[in-house]
Amino acid sequence: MTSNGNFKREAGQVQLRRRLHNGFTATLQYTLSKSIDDSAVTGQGGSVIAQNWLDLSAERALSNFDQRRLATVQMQYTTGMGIGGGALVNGWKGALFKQWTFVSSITAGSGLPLTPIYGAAIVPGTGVAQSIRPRYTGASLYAAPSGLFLNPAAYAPPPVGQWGNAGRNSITGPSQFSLNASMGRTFQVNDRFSLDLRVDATNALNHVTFASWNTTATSGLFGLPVSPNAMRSVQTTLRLRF
Amino acid sequence: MPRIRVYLSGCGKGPSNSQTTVWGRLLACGGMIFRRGAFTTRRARELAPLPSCPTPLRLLCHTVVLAFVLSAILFQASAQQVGQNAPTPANGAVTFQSNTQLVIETVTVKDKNGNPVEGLTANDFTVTEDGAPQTIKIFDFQKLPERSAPEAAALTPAKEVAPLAKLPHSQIAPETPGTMRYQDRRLLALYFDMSAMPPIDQLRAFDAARKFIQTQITPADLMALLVYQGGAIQVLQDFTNDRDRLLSIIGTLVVGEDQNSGDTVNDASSADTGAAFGQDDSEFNIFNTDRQLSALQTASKMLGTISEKKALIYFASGLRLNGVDNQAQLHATINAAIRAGVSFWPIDARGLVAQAPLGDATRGSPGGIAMYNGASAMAFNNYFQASQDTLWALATDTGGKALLDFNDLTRGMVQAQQSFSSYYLIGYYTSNANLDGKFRRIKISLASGLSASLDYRQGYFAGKQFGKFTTAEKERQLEDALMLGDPVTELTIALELDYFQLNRAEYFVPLIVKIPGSELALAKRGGAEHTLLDFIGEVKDDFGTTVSNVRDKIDVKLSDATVAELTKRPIQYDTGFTLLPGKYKLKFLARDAETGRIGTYETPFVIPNLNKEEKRVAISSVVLSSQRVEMRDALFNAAKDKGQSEAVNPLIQEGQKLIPSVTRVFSKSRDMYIYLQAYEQGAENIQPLVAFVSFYRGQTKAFETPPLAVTEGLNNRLKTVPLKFSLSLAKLSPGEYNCQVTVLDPTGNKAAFWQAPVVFVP
Repeated sequence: MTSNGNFKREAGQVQLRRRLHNGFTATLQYTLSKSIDDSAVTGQGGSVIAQNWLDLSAERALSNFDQRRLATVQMQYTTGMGIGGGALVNGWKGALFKQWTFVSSITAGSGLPLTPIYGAAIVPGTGVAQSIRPRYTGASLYAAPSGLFLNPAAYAPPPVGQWGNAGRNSITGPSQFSLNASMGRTFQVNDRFSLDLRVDATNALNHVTFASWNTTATSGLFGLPVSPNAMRSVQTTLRLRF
Repeated sequence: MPRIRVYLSGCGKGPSNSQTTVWGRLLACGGMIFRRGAFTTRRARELAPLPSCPTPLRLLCHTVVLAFVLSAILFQASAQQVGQNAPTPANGAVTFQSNTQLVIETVTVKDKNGNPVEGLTANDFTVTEDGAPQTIKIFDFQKLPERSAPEAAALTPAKEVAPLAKLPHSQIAPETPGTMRYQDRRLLALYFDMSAMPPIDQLRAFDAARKFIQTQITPADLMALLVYQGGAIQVLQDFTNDRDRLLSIIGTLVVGEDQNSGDTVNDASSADTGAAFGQDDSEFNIFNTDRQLSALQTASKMLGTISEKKALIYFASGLRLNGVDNQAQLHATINAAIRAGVSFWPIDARGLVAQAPLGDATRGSPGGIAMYNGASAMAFNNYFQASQDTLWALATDTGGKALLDFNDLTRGMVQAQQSFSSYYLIGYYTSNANLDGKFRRIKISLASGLSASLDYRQGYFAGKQFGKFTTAEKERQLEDALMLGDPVTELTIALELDYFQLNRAEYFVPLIVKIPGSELALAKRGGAEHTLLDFIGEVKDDFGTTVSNVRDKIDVKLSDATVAELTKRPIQYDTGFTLLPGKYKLKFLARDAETGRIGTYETPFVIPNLNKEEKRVAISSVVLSSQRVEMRDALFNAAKDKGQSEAVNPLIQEGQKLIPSVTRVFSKSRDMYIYLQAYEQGAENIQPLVAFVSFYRGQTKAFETPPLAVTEGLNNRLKTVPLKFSLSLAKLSPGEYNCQVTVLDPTGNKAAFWQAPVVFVP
């Protein structure tokens, strides 16, 4: 049992910001980062058991959350804010036009790392039953046959009596993209009551992305997406505040 | 606690016309106020060998009285006050009214380099209101003294001033539309948002304000002080250039008070408390930010009553919006500021912050995976930026500028000060005379061929007719009228102030207000079944601090049964204050909610210290009355502290209340009641007193009551001796009299006199 660990992260971040003015604010952020750990330290989702508890350095690889490139854009626009934003538009035009808020956030990033798995097996020479990693054959992982995202030929069963040499988190998963948008307005009924109307759309473009691929080498589904990310959903909220 | 009682009191059978005359006449002599017992020492000595027999005593008194009447004119303010605010117009008089609203705009014209452009004429400007061209009637160039370095240096730093005993409360006095109270002035309002600043930042903000006032302020600068703390906004000082006063108030502000409302966040930057579930403060934060913004909105509206350009310098350690939830309030705040002609100049009281990536030692370390994957560090950064964003938005959207990431906070104030440059004054009578209370958009542009940037108020709110006021606006109107320097007197009110000593320190001051019923008849003509009378009043001491105030409303039914009598019968309202001896000023307003007319009565008065009365018999005010009413007969009785008020109010005796006449017009058909109290402080036992009432017509005595010997008094420390007269006026002919009450103390060889004009009607 070991209770130490090792973690290293290097990141560069650029942020471009438009401060709120005339109702418009936006942030554009780009992060380039790389984090490496030996998995034990960062408490990544419960208990992580090393493949070979006698050789922790063999676990040293990219962190689970290592996303090499990540770009996010956040925008918000409220109508009728500030002199330039039409705060002084009056009459029915003003009543119709003012105080709508649009919010949109776009996230685009490279894929998260995935670990190749060679099914569940009894670790040779022990009574421990757990996932072990396959042997890397040297074939290009991403030169996948059509219909698949990963090449099944890249992995082979580990030699008898040995650990598989395919690294933890050695697969780069599917790249991520999401666009969420929402629109809302507060209607001031009187001093006491106000009515909030909001429409929130997640994955507004209904663009299909996958969370991860099946990396179990023994599975017939190897190289296929596990599941798509959530499809578009629109939620409308009407809230009376008092 | 103020008490309300309203009686419909009969003022005799006299036709309403004659009554009107009397009211008017009373106003005419309202300036002459008699001060009771105003003897000099010499005259008192003349009185010294007083015989115990009342008859020769009276002779003596008469000579004294003459002298007394002469000396009375010398005294301006007196304890007992009776008067009326305005003459009632004669019946049938027609008043013509027309409304024109003068709109005044201040326009700053700057060229490309930011220098003020001079030498323009009215013809160079085009003014439109809601698109309709307006004719410029008033045009003037106001040259503000530019703040030059030598001038600032010449100012000697104000000496250290002592803090005040407690924070003063003030209000931003409104301007009557169309006037320019603060011409040629820069108006800077300092606003400290205490709930948004931790103590260290509060210190920094106060220091900066102090430094600015000591070294940077020029004679043209007027500053106001506002504070937001405890969820409420307080005006500590209206616009002034009294540096010492400003410094004292800042010195009085307590650092650390109302320190932060705990703006905690629930994101990757929040501290890892180890608790299973973090407390979800997000709703709470939304509410807090809303309140802070809403306070700014209130402040803008307050400043909006002044038509000049105003800069509100907002001290805060950032202000963070919580997603889109605060968007509506931010919108409202910025809108209000633009419409009020207020520009925000926020100053980030944190100065330049050196941030540790995962937060500094003031907070717990964040936990979980966010610490490793950069989410915490990013959240910290975003949190900080977002807190400045709001300040930035407040500034840029209202024409101000935010001072962020800068340690010398005075620079923010100097920037605001420098934003005022010489300006043009443009006035026009609006072509849209509708009093609809709507916002009128003003556009001012330069005639073709000239290019410069113009800065001016973007519009104004048109006046509103009283009938369309909301509850809040009605309240606001009353408060404004109370603050207004020049009183509104559309409604006739008469008022009487008396005083009775309660104990060695305190005096009970009943305030009786009479409003002629004819005033309400107008509301009745409008078809109203009932009307609401609003009363607001305040008593201020010599230093202008409000000592006591009253705010009441009563519903008067104007049903058919009473309308016929309305013209003859006045509405009477009474309340009372408990005050210490001293000089005071009373301002009292009444408003008829049906017609919206307001009547103001303002008077200085003095509560004498009767403890120091040694030369004369110490007596209270004398109350003249023609009516005694059962308490349960009061038409409206909103007293909540019934038992208490009856114990304190000397006018309530044995369940009956004496109704002071105020106007001192008496019907011969009714008995007249006179009530006063004498105090024999320090006496072992109550000494017998002798009192009588005489009426003079010119110099001749018309009537005199037989002397009333009183030996009974209240068994209190003051040895209060109540003196009551009840006399029939049947024998006296109608006309004007001088009523004199004489109180003699044969044992102590002392006397007291009181005099007032009265009128008897058939």
